[in-house]
Amino acid sequence: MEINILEEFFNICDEPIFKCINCGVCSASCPISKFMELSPQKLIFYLVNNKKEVLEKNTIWLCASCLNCQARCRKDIDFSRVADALRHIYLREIARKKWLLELEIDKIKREILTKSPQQLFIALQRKFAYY
Amino acid sequence: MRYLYYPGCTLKTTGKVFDDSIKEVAKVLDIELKELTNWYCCQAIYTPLNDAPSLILGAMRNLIETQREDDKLVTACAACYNVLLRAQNSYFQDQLLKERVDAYLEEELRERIKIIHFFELLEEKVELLNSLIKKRNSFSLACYYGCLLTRPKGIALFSNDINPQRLENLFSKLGFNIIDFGFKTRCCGSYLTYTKEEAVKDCVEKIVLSIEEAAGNNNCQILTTCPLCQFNLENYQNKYQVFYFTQFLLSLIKGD
Repeated sequence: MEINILEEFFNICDEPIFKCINCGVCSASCPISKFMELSPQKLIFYLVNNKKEVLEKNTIWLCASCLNCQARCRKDIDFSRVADALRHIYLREIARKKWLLELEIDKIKREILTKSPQQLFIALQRKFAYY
Repeated sequence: MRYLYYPGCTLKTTGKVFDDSIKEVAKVLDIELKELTNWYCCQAIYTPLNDAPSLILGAMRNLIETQREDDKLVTACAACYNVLLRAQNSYFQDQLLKERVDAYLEEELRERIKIIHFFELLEEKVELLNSLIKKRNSFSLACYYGCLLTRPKGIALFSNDINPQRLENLFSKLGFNIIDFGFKTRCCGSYLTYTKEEAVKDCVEKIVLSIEEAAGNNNCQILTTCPLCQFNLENYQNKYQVFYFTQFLLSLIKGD
């Protein structure tokens, strides 16, 4: 499906990504960046250059919104909002019919599911669900 | 003093220890907590998107419910605190969002509700607390804050997001040895527990490593402020015991 990712992005999010100077402080401060296919800084670079591959990378699903990068960013860009917006674009445009996308509840360990805080599970559904 | 109290879903279920200890500590400190009537899910995370006012409706419903009775709301769950605070902030900052939310809920939030974390109430009563403690143990304390109470900068409870000191101050006033470690506001991995366990393990491992370095040979316990951190830290390491700060205080007051 042809989508103009930048246009879609600015429809729902006004994060000033064009101010990004690619210093990489976000990637360096991100505790999860080593598990990401594109580090936060690279993802913003791809997005600024209107590359819709950003939607295919696991980065947008891994950002846990801890805001470590936002607190460090010299240009006041909140990466968690960028990831949230891209997640929503994916869920709305591509995975419209799948409700819980990458999440297979059966695969979550039973002892985690029963012991974990409700808040965690609701947060997960909110991040991964289309609405 | 009497306050309205918003427990949230976690404190009523898997975080019951936290809720119980808050209530008991409040009782001995003469703070009356009345549960908010008809409280509702805060929606767990704050997602700011320009075209979806529904993302803050849950939080706003609770605040509107609060305004019927009081202008203050006490909460202790870090996630609820974060969501309520940020939702209220964007509601008052963004006129368009406010109009859309008002139209949906058919009632407006007239004034800002003062959202108070239970920890702030404890801070005011530190002398009373000190006199109530029966027995101190010999453990050093590593206070782990996590992300929800320290960020975003500017509006979060703990204004210093690299090296907050308020928990440390409270407990050193109560006579405890404090371990000052580097990763006290680093992310615990949050809900990635469900989808990418190895990322959470990695996060917890680094936090523990940082505590180990700072603690040296001291016997150490970890204090947390958040049910999510508590779960991840408890589940993915077994070197240190992890307690909610109120749970720890209660054990001191009870003397066991």
